[in-house]
Amino acid sequence: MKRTHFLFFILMAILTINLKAQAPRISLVLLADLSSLDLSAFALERNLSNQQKIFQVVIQPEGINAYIEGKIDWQASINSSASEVFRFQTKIFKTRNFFSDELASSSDLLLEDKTVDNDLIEEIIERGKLTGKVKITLRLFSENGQFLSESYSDIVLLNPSPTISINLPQEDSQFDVGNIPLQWTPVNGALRYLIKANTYSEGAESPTAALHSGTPIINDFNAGTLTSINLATVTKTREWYGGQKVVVIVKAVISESGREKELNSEPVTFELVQPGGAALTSKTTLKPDANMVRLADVLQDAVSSEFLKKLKDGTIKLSDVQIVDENNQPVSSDSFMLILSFLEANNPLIISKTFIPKP
Amino acid sequence: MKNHIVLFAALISFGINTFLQAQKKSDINAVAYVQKIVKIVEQRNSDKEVWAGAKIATPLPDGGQVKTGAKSLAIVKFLEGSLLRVRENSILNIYGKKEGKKVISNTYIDKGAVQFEVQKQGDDEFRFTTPTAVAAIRGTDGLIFCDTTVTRVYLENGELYIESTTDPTKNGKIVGGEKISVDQDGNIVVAALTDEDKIIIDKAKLQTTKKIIIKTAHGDVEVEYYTSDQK
Repeated sequence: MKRTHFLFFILMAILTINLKAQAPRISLVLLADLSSLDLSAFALERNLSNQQKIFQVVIQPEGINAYIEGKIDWQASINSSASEVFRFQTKIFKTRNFFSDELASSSDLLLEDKTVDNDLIEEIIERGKLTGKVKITLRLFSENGQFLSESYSDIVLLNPSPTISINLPQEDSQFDVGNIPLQWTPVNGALRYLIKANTYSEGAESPTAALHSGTPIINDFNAGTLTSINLATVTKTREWYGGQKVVVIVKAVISESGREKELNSEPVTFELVQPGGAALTSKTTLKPDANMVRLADVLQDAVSSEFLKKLKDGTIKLSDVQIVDENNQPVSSDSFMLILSFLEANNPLIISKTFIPKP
Repeated sequence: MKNHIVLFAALISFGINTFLQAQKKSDINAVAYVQKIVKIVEQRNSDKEVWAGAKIATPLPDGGQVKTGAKSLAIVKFLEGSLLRVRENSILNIYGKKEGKKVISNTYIDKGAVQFEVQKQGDDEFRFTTPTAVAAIRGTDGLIFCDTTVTRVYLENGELYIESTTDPTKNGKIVGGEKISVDQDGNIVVAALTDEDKIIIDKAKLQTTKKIIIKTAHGDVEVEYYTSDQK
């Protein structure tokens, strides 16, 4: 009798452990750095096949009938209250691991219900880059509606980054008509960049008005996905000459689920000089690299004045430096731009700045 | 010669044993542990005069202290699960005691800022004491910062009761989304958290650090910075 009780107890214990082990658990693994995300990836409801993978959903064990309720909340400036961008519920499916881009596209992961705040999605996309706070929440339910597990990811994106801005030419600089480097900050997810430039008469009209008067000399030239170009080589509707003032803007074209939107840079003005002109020799012998000038501003209290001067006067250019991370892995120019913007906007978050001079 | 070897071995054995006993005792009395260190973090126990560099997993007994330098961060985790992010230029004293089944964790903040995530567990209570106030909290998170003249608490969630150390009859209570300040005269001001306050709280939670190294022909520059955390 005692032995029977003991066996019964053991069996119950095994059964309990087994049942517990079989209760599916969901976990959310963020794949993308949201600060560099193509924002159209948030337009999940549009069932695009080329959506980015934002997260992976890991559900163990597999093969159990269940459904997921999910939502994405966004706080525009961290401080405003959170708003729900997107909420969905899947149809009942056999649990398995999957990526976010499979939601609503894989035949076994179709949506039962969804709510989308299209105005908010518009707003996010118009910003050009995700800032504020994003919370992704997923809740797993059994096919009978019993709550099983929850997972969420709460990401604070503090850098109120610029949308798109021109690094070169710098405002009021002078350039040889045959060599006008134009460089701008990349926008993640940009399909292409368009360049518009026109001459203007100082005092007679504003640079912005000049851009929209008549046919601009460079009228939405398609630079593809390049982030720098020599304006001298770009197709023009008419010629320009030394001594003329020029205003230029760069527009990033981004996609929002099949619709295209443009993000404009602030206009930058500069002056053209004829090759070999007096002004040219005096002002273009040194061509500051705008990004190195920005870096100099971030580093100004930590490096020698001589090094600062080299950063500012063009002796050190972005193309000449090697940038690596803490694991000695190369950092791309695009990533460096993002980090530079972050450091500019969040100076108090810099822990240390160390300079090791070379003889 | 043989006798010397035996004596030497016995002494070594005694030394190791004493060290292990002391270590065990220290662990048993631990109230909290140092979970993460960024830059300069020092620690000392109540029986020590001298500050020593803290190490990850350093046990902090009742009366232990943690001090952070400029741009530094120490994450202190209590055994019951509460977590404190001790921001730069702060000094935190840690106390813990059991009253029956109830664990009372207390901290004294001389100066600085501490972001807290306090677990709610049964009757346990968590207290912050500063030069101007004593705050009692249960299951809440926010930011407390103080100097010798004023204490400010920004509360994200939960509830907090606070009273003046100079005049305990002056006290106040706030809930998530509110902030409170208590000065050295016991003046208490309650207000809603502003947008700027919420940004300050979010920044106080940052604990991930990254580095970027720019190598040039004229010298190398290394910048270390706090960045957004991803859970």
